[in-house]
Amino acid sequence: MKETATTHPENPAGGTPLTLLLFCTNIRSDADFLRAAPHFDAHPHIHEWNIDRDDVDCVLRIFTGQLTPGDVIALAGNLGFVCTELE
Amino acid sequence: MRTRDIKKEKLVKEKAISLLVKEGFEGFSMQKLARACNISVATLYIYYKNKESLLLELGAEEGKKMTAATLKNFSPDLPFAEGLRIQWENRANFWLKNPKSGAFFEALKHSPYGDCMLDDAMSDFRNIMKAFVHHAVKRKELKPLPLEVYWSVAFGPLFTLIRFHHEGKSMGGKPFKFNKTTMEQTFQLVLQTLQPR
Repeated sequence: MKETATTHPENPAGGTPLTLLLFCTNIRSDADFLRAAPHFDAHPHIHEWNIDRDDVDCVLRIFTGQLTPGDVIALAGNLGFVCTELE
Repeated sequence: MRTRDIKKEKLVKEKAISLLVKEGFEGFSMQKLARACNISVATLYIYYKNKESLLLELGAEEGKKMTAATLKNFSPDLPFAEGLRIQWENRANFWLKNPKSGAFFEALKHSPYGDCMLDDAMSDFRNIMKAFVHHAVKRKELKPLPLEVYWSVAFGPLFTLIRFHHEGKSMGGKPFKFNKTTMEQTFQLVLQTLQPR
């Protein structure tokens, strides 16, 4: 498991263990958020997500059971966003 | 797998208060906080969903500490002079011991989360204070005054003395240390001003 991983506090018993993935992004404005949100909301392997747009790194948090950091970076990249794994 | 570490969480909270006081809301970032705590930004985001949840949680905790200290041995039904004296003693004890709390509340109040924090953390406290004033006016122990006038006269002088104490000096750089005699002298003047003749 990655260094940044943790279990989700609401992980349903018996379900796939959820991992927290963290990224720096440039999803900053309301327009950016509205462009990204439907894709994250609708993704079948994203259990929960949020972006801290008040902070300089616009950190994207994703709880997932199956996605890898590379999958998320590709997903955001396809939407036109810069997304790098948070160290 | 990481789990939440209570000691680390405490350190994060202490450093977050110091950082907010020093940098203000605009200058506060999770990166700076992580550096101050000597942890990774990623670790911070395991503890907190975002900057808002961190600051609101801190505001609520500090608010609870402050209100609990301020309401010690106090009841809104107390006679006005006795209740106000307890308020002065409690507020002086808390603010003298917690010099960063005042600056922290000010910074949070002027952040985008200020109204939310004040509503959530302070509504019970404000209701108790309102009831105290209401009872005192009803019993004719306190002049009916606009809230702002009452608060300025009732507590403004105390907070001025506390500010002098934290700065270590009063007007013109005169050395100043808060003491009970000065507080009592000021309190008596405040009481005379607020009570009906």
